[in-house]
Amino acid sequence: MSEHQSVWRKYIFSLDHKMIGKQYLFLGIFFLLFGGFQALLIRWQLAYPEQPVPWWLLGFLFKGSGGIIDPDMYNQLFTMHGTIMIFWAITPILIGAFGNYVIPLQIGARDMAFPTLNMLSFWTMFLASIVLLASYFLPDGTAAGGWTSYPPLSLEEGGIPGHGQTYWTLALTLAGTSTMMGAINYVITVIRMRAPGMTYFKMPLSVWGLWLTSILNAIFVPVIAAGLIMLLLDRLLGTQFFLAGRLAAGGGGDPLLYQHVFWIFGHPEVYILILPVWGIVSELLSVFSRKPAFGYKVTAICMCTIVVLSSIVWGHHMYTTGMSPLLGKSFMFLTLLISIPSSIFFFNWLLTLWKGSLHFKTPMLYTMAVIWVFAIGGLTGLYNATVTADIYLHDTMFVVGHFHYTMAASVLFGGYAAISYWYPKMFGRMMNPLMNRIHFWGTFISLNLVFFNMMVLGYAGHHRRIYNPAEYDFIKPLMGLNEFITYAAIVLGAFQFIYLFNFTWSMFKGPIAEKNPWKSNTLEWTVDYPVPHGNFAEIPQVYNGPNEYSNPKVKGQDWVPQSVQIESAG
Amino acid sequence: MTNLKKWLPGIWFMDPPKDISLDGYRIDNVIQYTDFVITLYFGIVVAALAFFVWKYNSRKHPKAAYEHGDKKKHLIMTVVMGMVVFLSIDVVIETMSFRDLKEAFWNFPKGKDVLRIEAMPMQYAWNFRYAGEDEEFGTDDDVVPPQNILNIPVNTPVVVQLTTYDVIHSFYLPNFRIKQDATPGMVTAIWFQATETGEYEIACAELCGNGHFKMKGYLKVQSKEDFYTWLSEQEPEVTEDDWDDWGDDEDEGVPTKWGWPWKEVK
Amino acid sequence: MKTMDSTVPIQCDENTSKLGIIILLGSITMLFITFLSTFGAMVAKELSYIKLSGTHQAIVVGNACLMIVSSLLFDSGFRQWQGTKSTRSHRFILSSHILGLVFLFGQITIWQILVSDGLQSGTNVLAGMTYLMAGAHGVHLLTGLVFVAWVWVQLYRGIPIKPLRFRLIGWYWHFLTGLWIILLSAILILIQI
Repeated sequence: MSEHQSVWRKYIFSLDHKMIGKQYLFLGIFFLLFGGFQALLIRWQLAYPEQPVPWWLLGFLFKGSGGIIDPDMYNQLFTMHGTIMIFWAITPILIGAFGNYVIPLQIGARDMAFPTLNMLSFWTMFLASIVLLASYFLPDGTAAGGWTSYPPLSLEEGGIPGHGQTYWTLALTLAGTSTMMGAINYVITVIRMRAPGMTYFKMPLSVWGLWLTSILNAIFVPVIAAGLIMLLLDRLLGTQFFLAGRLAAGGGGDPLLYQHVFWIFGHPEVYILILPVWGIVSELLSVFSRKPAFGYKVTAICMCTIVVLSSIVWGHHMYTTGMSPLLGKSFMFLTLLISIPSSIFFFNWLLTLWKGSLHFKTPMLYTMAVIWVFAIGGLTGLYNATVTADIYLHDTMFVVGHFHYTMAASVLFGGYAAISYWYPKMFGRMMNPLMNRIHFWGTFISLNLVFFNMMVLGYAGHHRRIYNPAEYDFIKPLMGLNEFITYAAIVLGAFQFIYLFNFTWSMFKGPIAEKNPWKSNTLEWTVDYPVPHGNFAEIPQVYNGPNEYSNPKVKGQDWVPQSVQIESAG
Repeated sequence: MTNLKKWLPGIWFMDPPKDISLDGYRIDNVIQYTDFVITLYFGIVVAALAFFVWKYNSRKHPKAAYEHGDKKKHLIMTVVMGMVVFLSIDVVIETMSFRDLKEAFWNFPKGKDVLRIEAMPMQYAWNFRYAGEDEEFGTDDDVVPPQNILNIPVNTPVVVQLTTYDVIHSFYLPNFRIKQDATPGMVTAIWFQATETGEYEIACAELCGNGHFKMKGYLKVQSKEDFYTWLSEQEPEVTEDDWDDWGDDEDEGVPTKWGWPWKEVK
Repeated sequence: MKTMDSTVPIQCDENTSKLGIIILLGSITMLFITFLSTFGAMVAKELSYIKLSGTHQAIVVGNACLMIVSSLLFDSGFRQWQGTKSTRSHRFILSSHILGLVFLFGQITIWQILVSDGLQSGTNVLAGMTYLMAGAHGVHLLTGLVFVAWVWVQLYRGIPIKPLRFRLIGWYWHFLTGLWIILLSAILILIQI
């Protein structure tokens, strides 16, 4: 059916969820590299403040300022690094690419519920990317108010010159619109388009994660949209919603309102980014342990509980704003409640391995790495949830290390696991396992050295977003560690090229993949590559849960597709 | 608790800045307790992972058990483990934290011997103001020392009220383990008490523009005698201009006449 | 969002589309809940004050009534069309559309009156929030007007129209009416406090 389609329809304005997923993947990888490069520049400045950027970090880009990164440039770099990594790298790769690619295939649907909306969602994101990239060519550069862009700093009155912040706000509003279109589509697809027999508790946990993420997106992206619209009006039309004090000539609003609105969205956003990874990890652990996911229902319910809790804990980002004691205590209590469902499903992960038969294929390695980094990331969240500890650690490198563990490290490994796992279905070939293994160990070690030591820096008092840490006497003894982190980060960056090379090379030269190389049960492995537009010749009837591995009733093999009745499988 | 660090260095290799405050130890304690328990739990996770990798690796253990873990005993087991984590970490640190907030950080000192200071950070400097002889702020005899230097006496509770001249800043004292945001349009407060004399650093912890990194001040902790000698040597703020200097948009030099009537703690 | 590639059989049925609209309306509601909560917080913090005279209140409420009438007209049009499949119901839809337009112009006029009476958006954040909510509602209304106009053109020309589309556009139109009534009453109640 796809032969008659023009190249234009097939590759560019495609309505096929699989092609849109790939488009998102490439967009995400581009921005991942771009954001990663900016991270290295930030690291360079922190280790060697005001020293010329070397040629291998493209030092010629900084000719205008004598080869060094100036303070304005530095602020722009970390602002854009955060924005790009969260909204243009993680979101497109995990939610855009895998949400699109995996959801319809795993629930046995022909496509998303609204394919045109799906296409529009990608192209809105593309437009947002253009606006964002355009801000790099403005005479005064990009936004420089941090990824949170607290007013009044992010307003005209805040003293950052130029229109970068306006472009940033516009780009983010567009990206939010795109995310919302996608989210509406995913939510409905899961509710309405499941194959016959695919009940909610027969969906793979990866679908659960992506679905819950989309629910959060549909609810909370409009909240940040409201905040951004108000910020934009403050910038462009002279309203004073977020302006107060001397800068607000007559009247004025309240900058704290922005912080509330931002974090009402911002805290669920953290879970929006991590939920797909939780789902994918739960699913992959089961596949590569050849054992059903331990406590499948409990894991799904825990994820739902966290989704609910995540929307009422935003205040823990604002302990130092002069919050009333009652609010501070309530937010701390609610935040700490999250550790109950989190630890329950974390134990479920561990117990899935227990008595399994662990196959250390590359997706499994990345998945195990997620367990490691998420344990660290989750546990260190306890410091930030505690009001007193957070009074000290707030706005230090500790927070930076913590959220890189939860968001960057977990999501990165989750993304690598997902790419290596679904690569055979997406591109019809296998990735080179040796290169993946080298990449895995290099990344795992250097990433831990980078992010763990960031927390050490923060514990020693090093606050964040400072251009030249050596200004402070109490940070001077930490400069050696800063240099060390930078070296580790460069190694981390270098290892990513192995993956990039493997990713590209295997697309053309990798061994042709079998239909079901991992011997998985889920529905996407029942169709041949290339999966046609429309996915299934006949919509499958689902009989089993997603994790019927090592079922004793099945003879001769330790897996059984969801669409095969167990009695007849032997 | 304070001895914890002697026999267990925790997961941290590096010490925080020297604690010279009355209550900083409370924060160090809660952090050290958290260090201790999460190291323990992370150790258990790693040990379990290592054991599973060794024991259930497919070469050694080719046949996986068929176990859904959906029986009641499994649910009870995981919930109990979850509750153990919650009770041993969360409840303990919550109790410690609430106690410390009640006893120290949110328990603002009152009385005659409390030193009151008003602070108004601006892009990129710290302005401080002492009440002067009439013990009222916003009057002509307020003492405004040079920017970026905050003098305080040792062993005296100090309450600082903050607002800001322009954008959001955050008053951060690493040696006291505390910070407090200064937000336009509102007055926030923080208190601390130094236990040692010396010169320490004040940093701005909230991004405030391209000079954020050099928005540094010094905290001079002096003996009480030295402090009051110093204070009496300071000239009161000049009185020629009228009080309304806030409307001026041109940010030229040091803002003057910015004090506000002291806000009593709610 | 309704068209789909005809070459691919897709199981997108009525309920799917209905659910789609419901979730979309839910998301839009979240946007306005955020605006309204911010407004409420501004009132609670006493950041500024709005005082509306009796005449002002009458105009504002009167204008909102136009929207209610428009919604009712659309509903009658839809019911008539559904019962008889008669294209004569286009008159109802046209009047609904015109009332919508009048409402929108009314909103703009009210805004200008309020601004000229001293409720500046720049200095009075409550006024600014009110204009913002009315404006955001107006933008959504503009999209609605396009849909309603489309329905009218189809009916007027006698082109067959999918009942589902007609119904869903009606949902959107009624939603906008309800949304404005809730926003307006909330604003009027809150500024009394």
